Amino acid sequence: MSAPLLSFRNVSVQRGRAMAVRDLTLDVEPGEIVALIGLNGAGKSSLLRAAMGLEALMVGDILFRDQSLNGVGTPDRARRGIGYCPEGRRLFPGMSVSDTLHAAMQAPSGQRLARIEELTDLFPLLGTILDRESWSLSGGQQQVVAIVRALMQRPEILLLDEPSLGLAPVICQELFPAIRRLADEGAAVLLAEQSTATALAVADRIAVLHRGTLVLTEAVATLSHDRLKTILLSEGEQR
Amino acid sequence: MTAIALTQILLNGLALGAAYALIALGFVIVLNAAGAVNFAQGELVMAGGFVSIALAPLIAEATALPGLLLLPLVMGLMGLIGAGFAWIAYFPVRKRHQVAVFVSTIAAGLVLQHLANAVFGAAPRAGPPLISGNGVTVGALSISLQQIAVMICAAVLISGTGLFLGRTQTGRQMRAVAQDPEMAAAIGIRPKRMITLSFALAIALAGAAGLLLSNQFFVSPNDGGLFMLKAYIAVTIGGWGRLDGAVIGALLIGIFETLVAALTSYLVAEALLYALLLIMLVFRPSGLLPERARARV
Repeated sequence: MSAPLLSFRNVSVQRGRAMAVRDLTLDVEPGEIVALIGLNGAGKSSLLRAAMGLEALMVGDILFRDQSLNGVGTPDRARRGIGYCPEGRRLFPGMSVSDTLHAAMQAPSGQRLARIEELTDLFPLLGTILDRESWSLSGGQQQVVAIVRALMQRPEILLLDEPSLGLAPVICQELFPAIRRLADEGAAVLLAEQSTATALAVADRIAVLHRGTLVLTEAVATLSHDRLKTILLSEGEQR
Repeated sequence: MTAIALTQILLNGLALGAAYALIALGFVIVLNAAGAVNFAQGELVMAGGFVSIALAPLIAEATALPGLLLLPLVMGLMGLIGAGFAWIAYFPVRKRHQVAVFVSTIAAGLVLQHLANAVFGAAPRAGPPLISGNGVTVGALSISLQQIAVMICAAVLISGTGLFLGRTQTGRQMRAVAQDPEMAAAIGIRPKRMITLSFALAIALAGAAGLLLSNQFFVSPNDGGLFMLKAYIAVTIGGWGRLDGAVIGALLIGIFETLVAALTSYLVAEALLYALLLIMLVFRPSGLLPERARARV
């Protein structure tokens, strides 16, 4: 197995007064989709935000390509190859889709246009909305733009936070195969997802979080669904 | 009032409003980029006027375009002052309570005011004209070359700012930071750099307004508060956070002031302007062009 692309080493994250993530260790390999599963408040979003440098680590370290991200600011993490698509999409509402995508790539104009064309092949919907302002898009269109924005810089790993939240099933059916294709082309994906069925359908490996603690990591191919069900049910009961 | 007199007043009002538009534009650029009101914007206009006066001897008196030649120099220098202003009066306090930024910019404005007082004295001074010569007369209508130059300069600067923010990569990134600095950082944009650039651009525009106003209306160290209020009223009328709204609001103020002052007096015009501000705040606080769902352009 190749060296991990992104490694969380004994990471603890505090958000407000609560411990959002506790002593978590997890690796993500190149070309792999790892789905973080857990109920609301399990620490999935905090972990992704910490990887992006948007939450400070209390303890531990995060390594990207074997190099510590300690002291590396958010813009530099993005420039080094970490793409981030947050929960709730957070597009720039007053900007057109085209301007949003251009702003998200630090490269000459020709390269930016070529990248938008490439990504239009992956998400054909994009071609029809480039001139629209982000605030006027539907939820599904916004999600596609948010993912494409994160992909503009050709990230080696994509951190995807709840991409299916609030989307119609038909949109999800188009979105997740595109995410799978990204991984097949070599990008790693760390996907935070509340829908277990969706996560199992697209991921290579799952990591179950419960109140900030990693309680299970296992390849989807070898996963015992009964065991997963037991863990998730006990999580629900404890809440 | 005859049609000629009314046209004359409208032209005077447009020239005044065009200069106000530059102040208001800078005010909104900082408001959007920093999420805070720069209460020193008026003092920075005043500083632009005095910088023009200080630099005027560099331009030979014989030239026909003294102010126009000075304009890039004044804007460049004020842009540098703007970048320094961001690092002195904004960044050190931006993570504290919002009031800290207000107080910090007010303090910076007072420093500028007292500095101008100490260096140039309290008496009003005239800045260099943009262009030498008297003016053009069309029938009974007479327009000074200075007024024409003010309107053309302001139009070029406003359009240039619009094109810069709308069409260039740096402009797009400045807009992204203005709308969501955390998300902008997450796509590789450096928010501090963009906010510094926003201050530099806003204060360069304030400097240009200072130069444009200083010849016809003179400049004195205490003028800052008045300019700041005009920018605030323009933004309130036009729509909080909207660049186009700020320009429209400023032009309306210029025309309103000139028209009412011609019919009554300058003092009445000022009083009615503030009354208009109160009416807007009560009945249409979002302004003529309301901001679309956090759509900071």
